[in-house]
Amino acid sequence: MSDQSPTCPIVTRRQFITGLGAAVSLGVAGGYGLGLWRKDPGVTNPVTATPATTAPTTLPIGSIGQSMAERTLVILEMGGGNDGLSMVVPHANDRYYDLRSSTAIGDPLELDNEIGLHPALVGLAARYEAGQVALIEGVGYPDPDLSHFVSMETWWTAHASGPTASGWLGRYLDAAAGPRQPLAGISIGPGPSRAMLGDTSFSVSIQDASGLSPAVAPWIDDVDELMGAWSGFAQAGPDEDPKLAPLRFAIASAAQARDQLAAAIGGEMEAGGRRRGRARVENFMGLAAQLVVALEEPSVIYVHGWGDFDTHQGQLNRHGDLMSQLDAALDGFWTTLDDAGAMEDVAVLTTSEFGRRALDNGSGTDHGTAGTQLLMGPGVRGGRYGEPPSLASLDPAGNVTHTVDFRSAYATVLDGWLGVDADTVLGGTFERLDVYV
Amino acid sequence: MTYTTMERTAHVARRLGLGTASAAATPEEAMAAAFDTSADLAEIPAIKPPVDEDEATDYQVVVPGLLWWVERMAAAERPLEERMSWFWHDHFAIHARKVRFPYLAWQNHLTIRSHALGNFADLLTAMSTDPAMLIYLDTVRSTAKNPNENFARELMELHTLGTGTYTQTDVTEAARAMTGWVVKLPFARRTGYSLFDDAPDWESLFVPRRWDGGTKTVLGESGNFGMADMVDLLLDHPATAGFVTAKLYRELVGLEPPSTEVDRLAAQFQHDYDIRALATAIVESPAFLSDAAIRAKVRTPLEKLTATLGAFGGAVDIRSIQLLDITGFVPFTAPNPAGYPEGAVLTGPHRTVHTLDLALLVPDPPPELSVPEVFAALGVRDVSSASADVVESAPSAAHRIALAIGSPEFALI
Repeated sequence: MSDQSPTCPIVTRRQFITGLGAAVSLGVAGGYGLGLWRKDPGVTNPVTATPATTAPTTLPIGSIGQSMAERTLVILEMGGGNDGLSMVVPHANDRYYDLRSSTAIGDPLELDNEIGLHPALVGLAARYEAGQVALIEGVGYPDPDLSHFVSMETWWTAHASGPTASGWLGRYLDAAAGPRQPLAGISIGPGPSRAMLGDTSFSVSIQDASGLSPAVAPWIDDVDELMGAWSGFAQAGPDEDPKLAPLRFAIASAAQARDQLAAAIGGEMEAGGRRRGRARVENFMGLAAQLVVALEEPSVIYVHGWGDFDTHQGQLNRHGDLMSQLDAALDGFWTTLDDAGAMEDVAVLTTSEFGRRALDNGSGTDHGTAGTQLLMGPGVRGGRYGEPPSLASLDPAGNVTHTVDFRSAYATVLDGWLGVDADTVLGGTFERLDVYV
Repeated sequence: MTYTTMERTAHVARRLGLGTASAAATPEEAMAAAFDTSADLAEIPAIKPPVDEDEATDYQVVVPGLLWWVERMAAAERPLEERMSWFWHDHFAIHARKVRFPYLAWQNHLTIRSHALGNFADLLTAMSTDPAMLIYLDTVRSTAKNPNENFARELMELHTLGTGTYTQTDVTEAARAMTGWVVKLPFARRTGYSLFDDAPDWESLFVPRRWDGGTKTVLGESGNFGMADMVDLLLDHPATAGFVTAKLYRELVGLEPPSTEVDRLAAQFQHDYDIRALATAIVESPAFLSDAAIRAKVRTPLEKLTATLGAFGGAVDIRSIQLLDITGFVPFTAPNPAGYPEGAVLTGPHRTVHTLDLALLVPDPPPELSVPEVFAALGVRDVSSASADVVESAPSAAHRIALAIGSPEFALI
């Protein structure tokens, strides 16, 4: 890519891959290739094998609704398999207490005569009463595989089976943002979420409030000078090794994203640092709120890396602690936005790869099937959606049967909130929830 | 694009090891050096088995081992042993948080290390009852009454056969065969861990009453199978040798292997499962030194760190672990059972920018090196004029080193 202009450093991921194909010879992925995002050696030829199995990714860029261009969708991933029955508790169902002899929630915050929220979700309950929270019960996918790994793949790609390269939000970003808006999709967490991987769009990932600033050695006196010089690597020379092109692109886009973030957030990016444990999701959601307020661009922010929900043991304490963290994170998030007058343009959707086994194991719960999602925001028509799965008729493994396809919430936010053709992004038609009216 | 002999020599060292640039003059010399395991090295640190649960769940227990491991990766001696130890660590991925007892993660590493260039059948057998693996993939919770499919699925999908060669029924039946295994701990815990006093602490243990002793049908064979039978079935299955061969070929050559090449290499591998022999055969194939193979892979954050340590002789301390943490590459913390990320995802903005953090590992004051010397120390011999210009224009020797670490050339192996 020696013809790459220094004033236009952003090339598309498709160009990135094409350039790579030229470098490594077509059909030979080497260490690259979107198929290797998840290392799946079963995909023998990631570059050429993927288009056949992915949904179309070439929506016209103008397809985003004008009035929706300001909107942001924040996904909060609850990794490990969140127990929906402990988050939204069927307190009037005797069968629930039979199944959950050691893990039942005895004192939920009652929302109606059937369900209540986990007692730690005080802030969420208040927002539910204010009509800003949609609870989606019974969410799962067909032929559930109880592996975290397969289930996460399914949720990320929104394909129920088969290897695919792109994530559902990557396909959305391809359609709505394209390659020219590197900050349209931001992952907050330990790297870009697979869900954000597109063919033409590029997703930035950051994981703390220090943003894209390196921790420099003490003998580097001026970090801006260093970074200025470093961004010079974006410029290719004549007749050079073409294998360098993807790396020059990576440096160019990182430098550009860093500049934009610095311009938008400035000194605040130096604050924060890298807190662990309890504060993790609060930090992540706090950063998400900060980015929504400071930046024009983000259309999707994907918060992930909060993965402690695999509560096989000690569930009451562990899950209770997670619910406290969730409530604090959401409260901080909405308060920040409210203070900045930016609530109206934001929606939050939670995901988790599966719910947990209906019958507990004496101290925790094993991998299960259907779970519960939250969809929040001022634009939401609050209330209950979906259908609570029957606790009376479990499958042979002791799992409930899902009542809502996981792509329903995706379809609902894609065309109801973000204003794109959900069917194209998802590669099929899924029932919309009546959340946006 | 053709590369110089020096770059080809550097390529061999980058691919077959994890750390220091090769002192060899030719690719052939570098290969011989990589396979050489005769060097006498610092002994593996003895990590004392924890005695109570608080100690056992504290990650600090294994930090001395982790630092030793990073130092070994950065060293010039026995490079292929380190490459293969990491390869299998990634192949049989675990996460210390789910394993819960880091000591077991460390023991898992020592087991893998002892087989890294040995025999795959032995390695697979060891992993099938490895305490950390049994916990990580929920086998300690898997009983005749309530079999857990996690390990059964990953054992077939990720460790041996690859997708498309088995059915969900095979997974369900294999899970039944793999029940009955627990881990003996020196303190009381709940389900899945044994309290038998006569068994050695921190080792796995077969408890017949937890095992499903009925007849199972897996991969077309029926019998009263247990864990060892499952391992035998998988080693006998023709897909296993091909799957592992192709994966190691991708690791070492960096290219997708032609199917004829996989068939050729796997035929021998299935016969003896000799890992060193397979690695030798792969490296001796012409593709390994081809232009296409050179710089065909993205260097991982771990490989960047160990190469930087090797280049400048920085001390290995807890900072190395902290820097790996920033980019998500701390050993024993694989993000999922398929192991660590690779390829294009490693070139995202976060990891790209934080490559520059590695200058923290260069001793202070940094050495006064010319541009070619800085790159040579980092194992990069063919430097583009554009990258050389960027480093050349740096205001100081310190900046030259930091920039070379952040260069496009260094980001590829």
